[in-house]
Amino acid sequence: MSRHVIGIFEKIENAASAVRPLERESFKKEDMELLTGCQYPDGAVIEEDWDVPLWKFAVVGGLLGLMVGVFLAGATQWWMNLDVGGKPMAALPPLGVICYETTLLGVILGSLAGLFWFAGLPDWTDLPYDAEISRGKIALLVTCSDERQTELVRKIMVESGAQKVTLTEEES
Amino acid sequence: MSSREDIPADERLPAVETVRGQALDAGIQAGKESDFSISEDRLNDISLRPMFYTTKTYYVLTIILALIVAWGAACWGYQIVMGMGVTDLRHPVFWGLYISAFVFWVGVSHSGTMVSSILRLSKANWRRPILRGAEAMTVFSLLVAGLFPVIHVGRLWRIYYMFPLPNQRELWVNFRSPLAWDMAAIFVYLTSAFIFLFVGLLPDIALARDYCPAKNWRKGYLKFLALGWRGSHRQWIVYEKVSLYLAIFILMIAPSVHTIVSWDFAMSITPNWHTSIFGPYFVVGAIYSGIAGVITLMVTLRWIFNLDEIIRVTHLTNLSKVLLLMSIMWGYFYFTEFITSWYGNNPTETAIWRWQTDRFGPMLFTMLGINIFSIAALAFDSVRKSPGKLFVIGILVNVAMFIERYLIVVPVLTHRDNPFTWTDYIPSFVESSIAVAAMAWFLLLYALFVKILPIVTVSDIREGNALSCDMAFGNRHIRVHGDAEE
Amino acid sequence: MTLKSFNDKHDNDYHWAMVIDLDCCDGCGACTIACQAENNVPTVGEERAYDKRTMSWLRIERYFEGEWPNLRVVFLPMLCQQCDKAPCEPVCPVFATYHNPEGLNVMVYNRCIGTRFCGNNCPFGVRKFNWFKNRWEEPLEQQLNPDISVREKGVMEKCTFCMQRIRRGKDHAKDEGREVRDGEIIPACAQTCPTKAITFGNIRDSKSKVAELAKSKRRHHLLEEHGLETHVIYLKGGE
Repeated sequence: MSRHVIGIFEKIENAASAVRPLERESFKKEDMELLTGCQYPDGAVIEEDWDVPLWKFAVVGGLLGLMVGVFLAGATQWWMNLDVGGKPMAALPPLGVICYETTLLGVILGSLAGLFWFAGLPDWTDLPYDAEISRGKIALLVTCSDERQTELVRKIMVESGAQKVTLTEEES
Repeated sequence: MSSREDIPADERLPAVETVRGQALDAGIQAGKESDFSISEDRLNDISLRPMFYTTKTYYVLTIILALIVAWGAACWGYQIVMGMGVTDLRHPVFWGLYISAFVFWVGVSHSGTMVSSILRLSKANWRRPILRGAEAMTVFSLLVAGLFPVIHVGRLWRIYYMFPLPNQRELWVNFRSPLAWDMAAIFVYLTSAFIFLFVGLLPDIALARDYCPAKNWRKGYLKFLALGWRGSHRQWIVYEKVSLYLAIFILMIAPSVHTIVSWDFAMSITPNWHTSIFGPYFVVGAIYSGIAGVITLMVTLRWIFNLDEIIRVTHLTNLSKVLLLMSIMWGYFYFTEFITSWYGNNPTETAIWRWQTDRFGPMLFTMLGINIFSIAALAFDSVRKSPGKLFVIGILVNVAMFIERYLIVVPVLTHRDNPFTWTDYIPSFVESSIAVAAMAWFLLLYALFVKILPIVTVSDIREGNALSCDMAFGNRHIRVHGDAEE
Repeated sequence: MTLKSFNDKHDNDYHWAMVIDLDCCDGCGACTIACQAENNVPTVGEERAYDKRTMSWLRIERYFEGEWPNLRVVFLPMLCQQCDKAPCEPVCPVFATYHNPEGLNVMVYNRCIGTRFCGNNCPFGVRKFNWFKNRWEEPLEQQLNPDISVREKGVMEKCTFCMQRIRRGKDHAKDEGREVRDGEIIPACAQTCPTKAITFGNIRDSKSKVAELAKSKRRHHLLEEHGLETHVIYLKGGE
């Protein structure tokens, strides 16, 4: 059974001040999660230092798109061939135009797939969450293993100026 | 929709008047510049109010738009049953108002994604409130644009011959045709513009999901569309990177799309169409009319939904500066195109120019007049700071740009190589009805969008507010915007 | 069997061309009527003709030279020029119009979806579009040619050099195990022309009448500056 403590902070400074004491109590970075209604610079509260390898998705998507383009405007011309009075079966300029478009479509779809993959979407299950973040509040979520830790976290958060601290438990 | 009384008192949204009152109390007056940053709750209330509160005027306008669309649909049905003869098209004027409208709407779609991605990439701080409106404009104007080739074809029931669908008849698409490129480009652009819009919407859908009262009918689909977005720090890191990628690559797609649209003309041997300048000329014209469209829409949104605090005069002023730049660039391209064919003095082209100034003189001079006027007017600070004047200029510019597209398509066809075929063309009632209905269809789609998804980029504005503060600077206060990257 | 394997057998034997001697043409218009009857070209009536929606594949263009009273009328029979580098072909997204190995610019009505790009790209204005559903009042439908389809509304059409006659002539020659003889295939317009201004034949056969006439000093092509390699050759000499 894992317990999640969510502290709601009004100001970013308060949320940030809770991180250091938590780390001192041997809470690791993986145990803490920051939930916000808008983007904050990395390291403002928690430092992830995570260089998302999104380019892999974009490159794979682009290559797939390029293959679709070559297949459509090149290969199928031989497959569904039609003699047009001595003109070449597959013409290069159209191939270029079609490949440009399909490659970029592949990159865009790849990036979208990357968003879903790395951000863990879609996921409609009830993960620990507090709707207060939509009102501009900052939520700091800490995963604890037992009662003692829970109390400790609650204390640290209140001391750092949390407006509200809630506890959720989930079977696992 | 559930009425206000069904919602428990604590879940009720503040009434419009209350929010207005608070805004006025805080010293903000409509249209007046202020460095006051609004509170988080009020930001939500104001931004999501267009979604949750519907006035009587809105219903009336929507019903009128729907009726116009229905009339257009009826005209289209009539055209399908009777044949293309119900238009005024004739030999050899095979393209007319529909294709002009197609080029126009693809053009309008351009500034949405282009402006949005350029501003995102350059991290212009004033971009925040206008992103969503511009991106949504792209998607809806493309939907309208994509309709016109479908309306235009002679045998609608065989239009699937244009798609590369495997079949047993050994028929395939001719990828040599610019129309096939066009179809590919529009498909790619529509898909990516839709993704761009959706990814931009994601955090705001999550916000609307949290904001939405439990019994509201929107709760269900908002929950679904939010895809379980929690706003965790890791999600935001991914989100930032994906937004960057999308902005870069959509910036590569958008100009290619209008270039390909221009190639529908430039790749032919038709005099005056067969020019290499058409690609960039169309792109510039597209952004020009698109920016005018964005300005018009922004002012409309401000008026209808009281978004004065969100879309402020600064944003309109900045957009109008871009509009000024684009209008000058468009003028330069138009001049270049004209002077090269004038000096070339190719007999066919000269005949077409003469015909254009003669038969289409009033249209040509209206178009040029409006564009020159808008350049002159936008040079004045007082115009750039007045939403009303900008609204008028936005409408005028789009009228002018519609005429410009019409003058590209029609005079050439009525008056080309073979003098025996010279003729005239005036759009018929059916054609004009469909073109007007397309405008109504665009506005209707936009109006419905405002009701189902947040029209204001709330999380982006929130980020801007979080990263900025008021600073005492001598005797006055100034607003400073931070950037974590620097 | 793909189209290619079918074409390989017949490749390069024929290249159809037409010579029109403008010095012989008196503008009587018999060719347009013959074309209309042969190819099921609909008559559209006065009103639509006024709207420039006539369907004739072949028309007599009338031009005036000089000022009244020193006026001279010249005639130009205008039909599809069967360009070797036809501008209408590459722009069709569905291959409804394409080049066949006999140098003909053919039109597949059933494939056409009516984007009308081909018509825009034709500098001669010879492509015709079916703006409405065509009707033949009784008993006119009895004279429709069974060898050629009646076109649906919404498709393009144009002169085919009487494709059905070419096919019949070739079938006939094949049955007898020989090549098509010169003058064996005659399109409706050439057959009707009272002054024999129109000659049709295989220009690849150097002994054929068209090949002979094409060597004439009076030879010219229409809108040659476009470089379309048209296969309707006009002869026009002195007064």
